[in-house]
Amino acid sequence: MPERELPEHLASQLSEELTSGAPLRAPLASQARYATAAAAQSSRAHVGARLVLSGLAALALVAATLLGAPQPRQWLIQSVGNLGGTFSPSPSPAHQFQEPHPTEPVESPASPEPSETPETHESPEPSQSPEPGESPQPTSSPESDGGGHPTASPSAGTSD
Amino acid sequence: MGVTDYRPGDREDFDRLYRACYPRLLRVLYAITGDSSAAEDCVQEAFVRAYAAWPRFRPDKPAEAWMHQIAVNTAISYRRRARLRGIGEVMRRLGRPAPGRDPADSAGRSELIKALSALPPRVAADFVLRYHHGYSNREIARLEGVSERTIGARLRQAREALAHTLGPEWRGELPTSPPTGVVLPREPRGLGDA
Repeated sequence: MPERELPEHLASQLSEELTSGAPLRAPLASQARYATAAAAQSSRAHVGARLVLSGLAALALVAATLLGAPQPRQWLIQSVGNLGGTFSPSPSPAHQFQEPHPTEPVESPASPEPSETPETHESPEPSQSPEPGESPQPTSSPESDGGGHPTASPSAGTSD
Repeated sequence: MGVTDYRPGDREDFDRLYRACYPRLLRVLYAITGDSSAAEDCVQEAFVRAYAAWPRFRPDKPAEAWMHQIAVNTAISYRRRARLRGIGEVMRRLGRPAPGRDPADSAGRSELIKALSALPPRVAADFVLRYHHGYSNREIARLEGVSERTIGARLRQAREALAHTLGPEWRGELPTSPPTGVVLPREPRGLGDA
């Protein structure tokens, strides 16, 4: 059975609509996506190789720093220490700061036992009388007490 | 459609294959997808896939046929994804008022392109190869690796569908009938007709 053919004007209409509806946007091979993808892939490979080389170089530097002779590092530390001493004549904070001695008793936050008596300097009892040489009380007035302490009223000696 | 020798893995030969196949594939995929941007995207994607497989290409069949298969398969995948997206849109719009038609959807598409893209993908591809690019049924059969009878059945299916949508003249005419552009000499009419 022979194949039917399209009338000429229908074939022309088909060609016209296919040609105008889908114009050739990238007829050159250089414009194709596979070409640009291949170029991008090769550039990515270059970047990867460069990154690997940079990483190897960094590793080599770190290894040389850690495994090399310590003399240059000591010289560097001393130089920095000297500079620090030059610019801060006062004792450095490193010297001011003292760590707590491990043998010092550490105050425990726990409450004291009820059997303990409170110390006198913490809460003096009102019935206790201070000793005369220790703490002259400025509350004692010379009028009421004639034989008071001379240090309690300094104006008495100057009036004469 | 001459058979050209291509060396697998050779970049220059692949560039040559691109230049030879790109216009034809673009028009075939435009008929399948109904969208020029999608057709361009599918063609480029097909060439990217083919370039990745180019070193493994076996020249036991023409490289154009191999490229044609990859391109049509890419367009079929695109249509499947587009249909799934359409179903998803319908599901999302359930219970909401239907939006108006997208003007961009109908602006650049003629009735003919819409009717072509509604055909099964391989049927639309064969129709374009036969009536736009001028390939014979045998050449299309060799290109696609199917029998000539299959190609004939597909072309008949395409013509019937287009005749149903666009008009009966798309059913075509037998080659024994004279071409439309030829003007036949009119038979002399009788005097009584004057």
